[in-house]
Amino acid sequence: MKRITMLLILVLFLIVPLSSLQIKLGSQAPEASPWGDALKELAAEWLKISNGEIQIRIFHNAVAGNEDDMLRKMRIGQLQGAVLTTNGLGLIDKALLTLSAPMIFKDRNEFGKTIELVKPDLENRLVVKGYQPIVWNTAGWIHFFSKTKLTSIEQARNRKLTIPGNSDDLFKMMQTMGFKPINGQGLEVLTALNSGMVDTILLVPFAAAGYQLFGAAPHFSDLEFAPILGSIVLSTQTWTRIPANLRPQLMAAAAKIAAKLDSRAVDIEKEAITAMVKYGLIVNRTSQSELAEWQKEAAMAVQKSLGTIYDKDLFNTIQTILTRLRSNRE
Amino acid sequence: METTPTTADQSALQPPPTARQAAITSASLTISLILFGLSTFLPLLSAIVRFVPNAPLIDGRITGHLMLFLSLWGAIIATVRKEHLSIQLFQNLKFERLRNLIQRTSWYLGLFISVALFWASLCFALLAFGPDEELFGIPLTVVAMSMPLGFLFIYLIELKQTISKGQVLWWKLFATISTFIVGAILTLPSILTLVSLGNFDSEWFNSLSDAWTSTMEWLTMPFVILILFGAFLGLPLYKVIGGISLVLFAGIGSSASIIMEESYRILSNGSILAAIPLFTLCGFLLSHAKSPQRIVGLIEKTGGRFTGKTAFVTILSMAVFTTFTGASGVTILALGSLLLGVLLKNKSYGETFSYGLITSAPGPGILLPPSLAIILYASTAQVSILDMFKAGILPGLILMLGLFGMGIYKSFRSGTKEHKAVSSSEKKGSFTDAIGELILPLLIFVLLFTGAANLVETAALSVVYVLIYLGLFRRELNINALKASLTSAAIIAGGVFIILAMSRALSYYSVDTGFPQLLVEWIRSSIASPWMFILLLNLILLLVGCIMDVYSAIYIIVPLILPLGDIFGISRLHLGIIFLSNLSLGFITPPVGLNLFLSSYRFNRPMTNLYKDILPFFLIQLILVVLISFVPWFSLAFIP
Repeated sequence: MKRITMLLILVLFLIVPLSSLQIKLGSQAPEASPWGDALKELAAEWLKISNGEIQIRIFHNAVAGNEDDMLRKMRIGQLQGAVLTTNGLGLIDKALLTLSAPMIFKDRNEFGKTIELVKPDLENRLVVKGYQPIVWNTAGWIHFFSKTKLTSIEQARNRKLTIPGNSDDLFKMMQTMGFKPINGQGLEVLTALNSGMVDTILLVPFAAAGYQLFGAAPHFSDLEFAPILGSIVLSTQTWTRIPANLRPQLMAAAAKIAAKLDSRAVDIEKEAITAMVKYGLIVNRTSQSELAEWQKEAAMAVQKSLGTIYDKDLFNTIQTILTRLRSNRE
Repeated sequence: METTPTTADQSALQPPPTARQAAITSASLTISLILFGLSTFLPLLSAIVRFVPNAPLIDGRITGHLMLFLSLWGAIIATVRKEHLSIQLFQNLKFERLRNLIQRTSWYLGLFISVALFWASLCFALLAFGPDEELFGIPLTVVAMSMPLGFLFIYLIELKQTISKGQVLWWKLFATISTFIVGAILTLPSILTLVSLGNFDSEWFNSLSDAWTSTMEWLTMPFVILILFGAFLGLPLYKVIGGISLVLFAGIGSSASIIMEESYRILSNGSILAAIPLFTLCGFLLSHAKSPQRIVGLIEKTGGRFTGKTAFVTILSMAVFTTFTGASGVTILALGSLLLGVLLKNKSYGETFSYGLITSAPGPGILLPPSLAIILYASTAQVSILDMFKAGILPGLILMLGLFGMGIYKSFRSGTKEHKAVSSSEKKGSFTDAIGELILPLLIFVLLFTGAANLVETAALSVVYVLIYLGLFRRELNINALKASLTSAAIIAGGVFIILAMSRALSYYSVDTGFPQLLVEWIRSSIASPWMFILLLNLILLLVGCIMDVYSAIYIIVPLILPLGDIFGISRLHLGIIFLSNLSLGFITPPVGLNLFLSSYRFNRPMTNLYKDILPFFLIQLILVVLISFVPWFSLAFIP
């Protein structure tokens, strides 16, 4: 009897064919958001291109966890892909954190063009670690939201500020800039802001609107502190299971959707701020002299952090690109 | 003191230990002491350095990982002492042979689930972390190896307990080898993923993995039934939930490591969860001293001739505590033993009522400001947090009033006076006597309300306060009480955390299979009446409350039901109150409500007794929740 059972199991093991590819993709963005819509569009496009062979199942709303959770799920094969920001990408290769160093880019144009130029290097860095980036885009710019007006770096240095998440590197960077950061443990950030443990928080406007920070931190600084890079990455194991002839088409479709999203990025941010202003958000403008002070102090802090938090080579590459871009502009 | 004897108290009745046992006990106590010491010291340090300019930051992840170690350690002690929570229906069976057979079946099931958890955690630890991920300079892979080590320990202890000295060699070999093989088969995809990282032909492995999935699809239901059967045979609850998760994930071809990923995710988070063991320790310390007597004395002598005042104090303090923790289960662990002592000491309520009240009283707190659950719902549903706070006030008070009404009725019927006619100096004396106990809740609320400390730091400060107050000032804590409290708190933390971790894995299964979406689609296509929708929502949320914690439920379920609520014209504020009140009721819904398990475990009371205790409370709360659900006015009365 035992032998027959063993034989049956063995036969079963041998006759079952390989099924079509299902890609489980985790994302922290809400389903009802421009990012959620873009991911759904991507899933539909890939299904069409592959004649139904590649199905993307999206896990919106951070149900698959935050970025380190999603990365762990990818490594154990539970997820095949994830939408990551600079923080998550920095967990794969710390050098990528350099792209979100404070105030090294003067505007969105500089950031976008630099990303285009360093893209091959970034891709190589991820591929050698077992991840295939499908597309890159800007996830937004971090701003200060505070209980009272904040425009200068001196004011920021006297605040109890936090960043959602638990990145030791980011906190060290904050300290290097002379801030007094408070460890923000996930959801507790919201209660900390309400109780007064924290009075200033660094966030992208879209997330701030989602968390309704305009109630607890009604002052918004127009200073674009740092950009957040976004990317959809698949595990290379999954990417290689996709027929080679389909890959360029899939990449092109993803790039098209990302470009559309990028072209709307400024509007998305403006819409979020306008919505918050309706509910009492006060927009504070940073003066030119204050901006110059921010830039000077941030540059010093980034220099100090090279080799520890930020990657020296990548930083130098970015600086070379920026110098060229700025001289061309002039 | 008339509290239910704790496991530590019971151990005092046993014969004196041998030298080897004494050494093991002492080592075990030292480990508990170190883990609790660090869990208290680090949050304290973190609170202090906040006020020191340029002081190095305390990495919050360290506290989280301490919780991981503490839960594994607690689970090991609970295994040694056979104190994992389980439903034992056959323990009093008279037929010895049948009883032995049942016991062996349960042990056998338990053993192979332990092996499967070992393999799952080994693969998780080796695969899930990047080479650069570190904690305090130690690679996270090394830190996470504590998980397979913990499960290996548990397996070896269970194996030793299963194989008695008199048994024949072939049975010992069979038990060891067969459980290892079955456990490994259950976790084959994890092991294959681990092995395929080498130079193996991954196509072959993929085929094997797909074939294995197809086989497991067939075997899922028989395995689930077998494990459920094991639940009634005394299989520890965490193994029932973990075992079911293992076979369900196997049935859809997922790596078993996902169970460990979800466990790691919840245990190493270090946020609200880290406060549980510390508040539990506080609760044990207070109940070991004369604190319940002092509070009873205060309630008896003050507050006038108010019938049901002890129940009132219990309901109010538990509900208010829950508004801060956002988790009613934490309240049971933190305040349960102290308030149970107070209720039992007062003869008006009796045992059944007291257990029922302690288990159900924290629930309404979830609806009252500044509940974190309300804040999160409001953020997810995109409604004003302030409006949501306003919406929760009346429903929260109604649920509290329901409980309070039961307290008055019980106190009135018992005929026992809760009030003692005393002179004003005696009143003053009872107040002075209990001032140390009264400072504790005040300290907690002040720290949390002013933002001086977060929940974990507050819990750590509470431990220090209780130790100083009861140990140094009152001198009511001796070294034995401290040892017993440490061991009991470690067991409770380990026992509870491991159940929470396994439940989290099970709820992720529902996410992975898209079950909530399917259910919502079904409702969308089959239900036309808003009343029918609310009724169905009540039933579904009760079920969700039994298996999911509030925060997971908000993230997973709320985005799905919002569009449905919009279709049926239900205000999002009212929908939020329906959602949270039903979830809160789900926690006390027999037979699997999470708070029932916590109470049973914390008070060492059999689940079957607790079902009887909770029933009247459940029914009253059910009626009130239905009322709140069907009459939107209660939620919208304060909304302009």
